[in-house]
Amino acid sequence: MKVNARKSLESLNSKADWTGIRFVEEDSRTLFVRDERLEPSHQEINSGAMVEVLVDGQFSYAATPDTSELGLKRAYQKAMGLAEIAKSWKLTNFTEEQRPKATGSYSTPKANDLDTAGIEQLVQNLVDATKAMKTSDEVMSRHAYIMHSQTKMRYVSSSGSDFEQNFTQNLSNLSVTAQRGGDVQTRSNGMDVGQAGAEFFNREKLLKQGTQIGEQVLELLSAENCPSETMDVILAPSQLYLQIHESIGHPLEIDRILGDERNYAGWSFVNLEDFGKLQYGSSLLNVTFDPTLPFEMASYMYDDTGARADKQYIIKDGQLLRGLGSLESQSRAKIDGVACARATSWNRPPLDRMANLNIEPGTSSLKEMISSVERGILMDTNKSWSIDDYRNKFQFGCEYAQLIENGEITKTVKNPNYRGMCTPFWNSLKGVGNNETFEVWGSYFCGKAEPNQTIRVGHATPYCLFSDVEVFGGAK
Amino acid sequence: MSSSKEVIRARKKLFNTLCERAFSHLSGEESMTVSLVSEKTLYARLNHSKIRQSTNVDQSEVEIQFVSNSRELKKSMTLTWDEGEDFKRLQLLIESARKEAEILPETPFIVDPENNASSDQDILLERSNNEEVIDQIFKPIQGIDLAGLYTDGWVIRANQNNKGQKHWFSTESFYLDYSIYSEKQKAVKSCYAGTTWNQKDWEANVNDSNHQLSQMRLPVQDVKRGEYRTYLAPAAVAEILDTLNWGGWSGSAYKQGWSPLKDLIEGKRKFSDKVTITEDFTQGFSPKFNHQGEVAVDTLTVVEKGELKNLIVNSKTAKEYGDLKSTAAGGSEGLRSLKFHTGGLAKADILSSLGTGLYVSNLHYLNYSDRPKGRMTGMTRFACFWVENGEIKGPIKDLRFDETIYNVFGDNLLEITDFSEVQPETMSYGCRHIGGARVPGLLVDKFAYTL
Repeated sequence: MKVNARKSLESLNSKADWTGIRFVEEDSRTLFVRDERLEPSHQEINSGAMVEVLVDGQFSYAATPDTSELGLKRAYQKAMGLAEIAKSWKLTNFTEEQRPKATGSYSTPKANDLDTAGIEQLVQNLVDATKAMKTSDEVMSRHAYIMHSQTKMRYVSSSGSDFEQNFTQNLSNLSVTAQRGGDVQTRSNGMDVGQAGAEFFNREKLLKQGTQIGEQVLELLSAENCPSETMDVILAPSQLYLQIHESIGHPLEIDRILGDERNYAGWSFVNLEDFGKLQYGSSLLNVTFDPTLPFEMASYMYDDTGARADKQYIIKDGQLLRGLGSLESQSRAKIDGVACARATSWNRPPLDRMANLNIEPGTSSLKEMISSVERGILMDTNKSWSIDDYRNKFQFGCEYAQLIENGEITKTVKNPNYRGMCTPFWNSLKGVGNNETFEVWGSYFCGKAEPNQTIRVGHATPYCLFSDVEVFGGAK
Repeated sequence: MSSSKEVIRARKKLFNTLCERAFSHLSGEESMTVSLVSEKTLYARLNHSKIRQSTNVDQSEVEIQFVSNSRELKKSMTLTWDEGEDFKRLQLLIESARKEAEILPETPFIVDPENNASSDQDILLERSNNEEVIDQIFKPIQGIDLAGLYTDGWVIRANQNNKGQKHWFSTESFYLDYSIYSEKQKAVKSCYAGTTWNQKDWEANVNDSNHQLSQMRLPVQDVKRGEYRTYLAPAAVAEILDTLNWGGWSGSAYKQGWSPLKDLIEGKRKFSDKVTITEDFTQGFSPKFNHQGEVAVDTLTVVEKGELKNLIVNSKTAKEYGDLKSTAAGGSEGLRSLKFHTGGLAKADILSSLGTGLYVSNLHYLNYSDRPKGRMTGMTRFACFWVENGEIKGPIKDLRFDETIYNVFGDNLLEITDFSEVQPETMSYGCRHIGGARVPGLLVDKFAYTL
């Protein structure tokens, strides 16, 4: 996209109280190797602009793929027309304060771009990774899938904002499915994600993961079903990241608490009065909004309204301190938030989204946590997730688990699931892993909002130990 | 201001021109399919019966499926509808596909484009300004706490290939997907959808919802976990079917070991003989052509009297496995126009047939808890009631269920309603989706609630 952003803004001769244009261009590649053969590769080049106007306290939006001066002018007129009608029914009064002046630039730190030669080599690496998964004739299918997205975002506004952010984000998903008799098991790498260049798709790592999951899927076929009982649970970061996402991230989004999301993803059990008071978890729980970890999925300098992003404690020593709310939500709710107004692309308006939401490391080694468990289970790699619309009653399933008896891992079990209630669960936290157990995870596809949007999020966490969790296995 | 008909006609003309120009630049052994997804939509997001955000979206994307040298590549790009700019971009896209086809390995089971059939369907109205409806939305909802989304506009799905096959489908419609709330945060969900806004219909729809909400003001019933006789209203059944559409009917998913209906497909388990499910394109929810322009039959029986009759299969899967027949499915091999056939339970008899148990209007956030065995979990949501001796006693606190599909559609299925309801597709990830399903309600015994 070759546009003169400032000139485009000036050419609108906007009559609005405030005007902004957010240009986005994204080049995404997907490669999918199944059983050592490359399926049709895909590249998507998507570009356009969102024109935003503030009229009489109401933001209105118009998205256009035509970034010529004429195209933007038409979008501006659409947004103004909409603002004129919508202002009679506006929910709240916003001002320019919700669009602060922001200048500068951010780019993902990276070593290599994914060029044509790199694609050729990467395909070979994925072919070899699926080859490594072929550990038995019982293996039915082997998948190696990657996504690599380069996103350029440029934002200009009538209040002097002019910034650019360039993100390179990646996903690698390896999985293998095997069958014995009527039993089918799948083991995967849990979907690696992060910001980096083409070096993200490290050949040795892919081959190692391919070999490991190929061996573990057979281990699962031979394993007993997970027992059904209440016991201690250690969650690996490959599962815990989604527990954080669903039962800390979403309920603390201020726009959910304010009811914007009630008709779709839902509300929240958290009330505005809970901030500064609610003991969300045990005193070992420290959760931060941290956009500063360079390789985590949602590190950035500014959100999509120009608010500067910095590290903030959301939960400290178990107590809820602030919400995941943008400047718009903060002005409505009158509580502290973070820089988290984000849009999926040029065709949607920004709203409260998680970015990087992490559990800070504690002091326990994994060995110490296992040793402390008389009877429990260590669960690894998310397979299934479900939670109610208030974000209270959850149920998760994992791919792989190991029983812990008298402080030692004794055997692998299959089809592990657990369920619980949000704050009782986090208050049962009794061990937090140290830096050595800390891993960076996240998701490419967090869905929210009407109209729907997906967003990329990061969650870094150590291993954690919880007491008295309701655990159960698969169907008989 | 141009009407939607005029804009769509102009886009059809330009899409034809772009395709012609692109196909004329292919070499002898190259072939290509060009697909278009386009929309102009007004989205108004509502909270507390006010506008939270309003957005006009004009977006279009073409995808090329390029085949050369036994390689297949897919590439897509945004269309601006400036012929010069778009053709320049399209040429660059084709050129990059050509170069990558030289270095990538062969693609297995390529289905070469063919000229099977062409179609041209526009379901359009003469409207130029959908913003005018906004004022009308609010008149009957003052004093009501409503949240939701008003979506209004037109969508296009089209594709052409260099063998001469051409398909075009456009349609224009609106929906207001909403929920209303009591003072104690109890809610009722509804959707008002159509092609022409009718104020009286909208007011009647709101009045119906308000009436239901009055039942949500009855004392909240504390229901413990356990197994209960349950009536699943059509919207709740649609959630289960949506989850099953995630690999359940797919030939490819079955062959690769991740179908949740493995035992049904292999004849080891059956649904109740009351269950018949078809893919029925005569319902008009979506076009019959798929991403490759292949045309599905009007009606395909998927489950008949509890037994699987056909899997949903695209031509690539059919070519790979040999023992599966293509049903001109889409890439994900899901049902695009589902019809769950009705039974004999009259609406007036639902509560008396339920007797004592749970009336569940909606389910939420379903996922598999044991996928190969067809077991899924999820939550009750919105207007769900405890019923005693055929009488609603009051709303419940949300419950989690965990059940196998063989219990719900099989051993424990007592009755199916004699009516069904259209569940319009309201998803808008990436773009406004199209489609829908026609689904009845189910009376089920021993439905398991676990939390």
